[in-house]
Amino acid sequence: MTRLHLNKLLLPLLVLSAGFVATYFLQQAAYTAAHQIQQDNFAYQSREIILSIEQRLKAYEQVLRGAKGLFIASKSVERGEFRNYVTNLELASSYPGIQGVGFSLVIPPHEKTRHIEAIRKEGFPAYTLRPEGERSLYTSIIFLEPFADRNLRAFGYDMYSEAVRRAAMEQARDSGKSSISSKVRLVQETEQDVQSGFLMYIPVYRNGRPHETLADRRANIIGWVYAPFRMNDLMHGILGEKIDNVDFEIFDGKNATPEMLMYDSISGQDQSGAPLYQSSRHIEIFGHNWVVNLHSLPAFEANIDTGRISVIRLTGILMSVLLSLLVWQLATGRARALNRAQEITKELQESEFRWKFALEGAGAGVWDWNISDNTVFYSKFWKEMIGHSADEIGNGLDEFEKRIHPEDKAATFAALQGCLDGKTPLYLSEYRFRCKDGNYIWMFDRGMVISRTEDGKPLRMIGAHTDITGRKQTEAALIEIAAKAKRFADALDSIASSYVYMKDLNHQYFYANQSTLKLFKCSAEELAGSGDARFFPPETVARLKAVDDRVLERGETTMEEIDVSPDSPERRVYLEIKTPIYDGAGKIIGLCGISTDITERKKAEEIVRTAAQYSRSLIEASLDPLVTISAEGKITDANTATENVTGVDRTKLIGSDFADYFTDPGKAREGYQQAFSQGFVTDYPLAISHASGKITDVLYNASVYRDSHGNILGVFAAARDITERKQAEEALRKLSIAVEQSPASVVITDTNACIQYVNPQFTEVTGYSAAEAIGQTPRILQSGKTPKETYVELWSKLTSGQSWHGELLNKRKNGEFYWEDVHIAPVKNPAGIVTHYVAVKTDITDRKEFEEELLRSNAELEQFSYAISHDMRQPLRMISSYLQLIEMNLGGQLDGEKRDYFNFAIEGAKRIDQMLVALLEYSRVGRMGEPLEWIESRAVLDEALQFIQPALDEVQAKLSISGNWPRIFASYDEIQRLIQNLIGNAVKYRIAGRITEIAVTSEIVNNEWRLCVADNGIGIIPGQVKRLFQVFQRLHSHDAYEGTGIGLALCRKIAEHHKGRIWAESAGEGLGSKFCVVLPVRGNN
Amino acid sequence: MNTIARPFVILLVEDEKTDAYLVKWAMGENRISVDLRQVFNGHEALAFLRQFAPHFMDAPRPDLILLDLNMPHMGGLECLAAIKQEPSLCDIPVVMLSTSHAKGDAAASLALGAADYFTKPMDIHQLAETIRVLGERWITHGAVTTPHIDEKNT
Repeated sequence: MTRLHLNKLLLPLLVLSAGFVATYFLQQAAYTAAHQIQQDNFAYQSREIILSIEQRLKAYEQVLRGAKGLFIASKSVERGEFRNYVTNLELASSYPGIQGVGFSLVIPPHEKTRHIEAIRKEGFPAYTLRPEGERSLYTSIIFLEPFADRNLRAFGYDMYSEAVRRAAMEQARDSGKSSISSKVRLVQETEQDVQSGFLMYIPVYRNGRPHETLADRRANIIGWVYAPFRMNDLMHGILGEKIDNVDFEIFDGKNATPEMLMYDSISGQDQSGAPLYQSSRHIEIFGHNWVVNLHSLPAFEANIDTGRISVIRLTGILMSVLLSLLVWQLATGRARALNRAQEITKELQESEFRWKFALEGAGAGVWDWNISDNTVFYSKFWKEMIGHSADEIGNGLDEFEKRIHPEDKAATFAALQGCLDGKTPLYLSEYRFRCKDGNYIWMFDRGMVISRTEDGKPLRMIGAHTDITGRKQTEAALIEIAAKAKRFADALDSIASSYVYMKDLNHQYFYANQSTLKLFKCSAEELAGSGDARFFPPETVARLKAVDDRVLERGETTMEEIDVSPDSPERRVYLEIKTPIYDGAGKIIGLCGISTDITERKKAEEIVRTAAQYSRSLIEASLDPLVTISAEGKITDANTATENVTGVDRTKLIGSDFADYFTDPGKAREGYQQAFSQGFVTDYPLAISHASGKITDVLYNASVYRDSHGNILGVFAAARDITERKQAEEALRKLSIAVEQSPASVVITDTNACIQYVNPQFTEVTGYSAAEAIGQTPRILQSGKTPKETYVELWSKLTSGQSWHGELLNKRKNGEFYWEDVHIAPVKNPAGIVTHYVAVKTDITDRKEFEEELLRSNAELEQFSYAISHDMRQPLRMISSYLQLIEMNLGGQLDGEKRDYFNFAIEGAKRIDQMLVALLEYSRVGRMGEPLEWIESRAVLDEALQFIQPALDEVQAKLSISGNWPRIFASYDEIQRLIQNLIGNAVKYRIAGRITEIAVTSEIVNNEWRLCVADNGIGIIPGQVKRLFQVFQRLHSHDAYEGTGIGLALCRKIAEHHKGRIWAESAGEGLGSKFCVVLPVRGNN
Repeated sequence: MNTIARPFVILLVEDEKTDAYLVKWAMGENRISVDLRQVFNGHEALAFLRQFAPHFMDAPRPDLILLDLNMPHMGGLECLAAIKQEPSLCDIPVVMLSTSHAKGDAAASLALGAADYFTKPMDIHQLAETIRVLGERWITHGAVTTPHIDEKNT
């Protein structure tokens, strides 16, 4: 029994001791597990804090970039625009912690005064640069929004004058990137609640200027968009109230020295005892370093539930005792003890997630991924964020995966994988996440692997995502604002037909679209600060300024036509519409103008106006009564001639019934109706009655006139007495046709010999068309073959007002020469002044050629004649001479008959010779004789008588000479031969035995010279008269009367050569003859 | 002043030998005794006068030239013009003796410096008369002075 009891006691003791041992190990394991979890959580939270700071600062940078975009999109930024931009950001709600957004402008020393004045003019009379003093470069915070409270203290502050800020500004300027400053005390600080601060800068360079190199950047910096931050406010904004279990301090720089402390999350609180967890991290933000030291707080450490471990310990002991008791009691309650142990473990696990709820309190949806079994714990808030209740979402990874926007999935999983593989310490991703209602919201997700196996395989990953939809929308809005501004500027630039520009209060341009810049021939950079004086003449500048003043000072919207250089060929007319530009406060800060070039339209208008004045002048100048009549039959206008013909004043005529002024108003209306229905009436006969009763018969011509749409406005009627005019026109028309159709060329020139008209014959002859000839001088026809003297004579005649006639050898267009017979006469106006020259020209080339041909053939004939006269007569002379010599030598040997034979032969030869001589003479008439000249007819007679006298004396003829012997225009030799022949004939054909009486008479009959030689000779048988004057026609045998048969033919030829005629009169045979020659007498002397 | 008695020298320029014969006959009829030389055209006349060509080397300077108009090679007018253009010849009287009675020929001859102009008539008796007149006007009988030599010596 005792041994049995002992045995019974041993087992429970063993159980008890085993229970204690188990309890101890269980407690130790639970403690280690909880501690590990808490360590992971601390690391996570630390990173979370730093991440939040980094993310937020980047968000602030986005805000500043947006503001910079404002400067890039605009040529210049006005206070109002800047304010609008910052206000729209809703800084306080979207980005808590930022003190404001401002712009610090670079001011070169030489512009300092002007700058201060400009800002003062904007309504800040107290504005000045602070701190005062001379520096090589100034900057000034000219904008800082919200422009209230503490920020007012920064207005005009020269940040560049202070070393810490300058370092950051220079860094930003030289790198072209954002920078933040070291710790500063902001000028916004008052004496209360002094906080550390820092500033963030983004450089803004002159628009369009390069900033690729350091030199470019330094040269073209115009300022910085910047934001001041107060550290406490910032951290409060970033982290809110959520951090109560971790304490952290931020130090400026790379080392955590107390003087560089910028922020302490629990300042002034005494830190008792060493924290369980702590870490120190470096942050590099925009090239600047911060050190963040983090410590766990008791509240955090309390999460390691040591109380529960004690419970585990006590319970373990108790349970061991109980177990041993139970074992002792034959181990009856063993299963219950094990159950209890499981419950305790579960409770422990639950406690692990407390921190997760803390995170959720900060607005993050927490997830916890157990990679080994691929289950994910999604926090309640994770689910609620997307509209689901806690039980609607399971714990598979697919719950996450299926909600990510398809476009974002790949990137997100890549980031996730990167983190799982250990390539990145953190998993970060922004994605759109689908809510229960189907809408997507933007999430920012971050997580990390918190435990791995020894060989590095990830076991567990936790993370949280936050809703960043608001931030995303703001970013999108910012991009949209910048794009809008750019689109607007592009649109203005693309307006080529209009000039759009803006000027400030100093009348200086600060914006102009491309077409304006092109007009001004300058670039956008050159334009800034330029006034109108640079682009327009002084008088225009004054005019523009007057208009600008109305806009800028009185707020008017103006529309003015600006005439630039009105009297020069460079004249331009612009229609300018100008309207004031207001800032947010309703104050005018400049003007916007749109100008259109209306020069061409203006010119057209002026032409129309001139034409209208011209028409009116024409109407008034007309001697014909002209009226316009409205559709109602009332006179709407009348000229002076109408006043004269009606005796009624124009003012009374207008508005009265037109028909009242005619003797037959009914007929007048009828004509008016006709004009309306047909559109016109022509030569409608009416009589106008003058107020005095005088009647004027007129013909009316009327036509309707219309507005530009073709609607009939009324009738235009003109009365006229056209008879005289018509006759004159008809005469002119005939004359014109005559000239046009003239076979002679007609050329009209002005007094400078500039051709103004040529008729078609001119073109026919010369080959020059009217268009080619008009404007030229007749010199185009000169051949160079007409002697210079001819032209000298021509011009001396014309310039002295005389006409000229002559022949010119001219040249056709095709180079052919031609002869012209030319008459040129000056045309004089009624005042006797020569205004034109008219040339009437006949192409006499054919005649000239004929004349030349004639001259040539005459020369040949002459040669022929000479040959006859010499070469033919020579042998004849030999025949007769040697026959005579033979006859003489034979002397007495010849009987009478043979002597006769000799004589016949000799006489025959002599007669041939006489005939040859006569023929020669005949052929030479009109060719060889001297030219016609003025000669005394009586002198010719006397010379002829000298030759004929021997013959007269021989027959003792009685010669009587009577009548008037005029000067005649004739050939001396030929007339002498004529007289000789006629008197000679009178002697030759005498009646033997009768005393020969010859009467020579001369007289002028009908302006002709008539010479008659009458005799009392043998007369002429009637019917034979005609034969008399033919060559070799003899009426008598050679035996009866010697002669060649050429004498009278020669006389006829001489008469004809002088354009005269010859005839013979005779009463009959034996009754004498009378030969008469009639020659025209040319001229008066 | 030296005077040398010698025959009167006449140069007859005439292409027709028959014509020349008639002139000589007419001179004989009128008992005109002269040293009559004949050449047949203008070229020969000039050669004679200038004493060119071998057979004219000893040609005497004529006291009178009777010149026909119409000749081959060089006509009378052309020859006349040439004679009148030579200073050493221009003082020799030239009398035209032509068949032509054209007024123009006479006028042209006189214009060129001919001393006289005679037409050769058809009738031989008239020719004798013509030559008689010519002789009376232009031929000196007996001693003839040689003025050109004297002039050269003075």
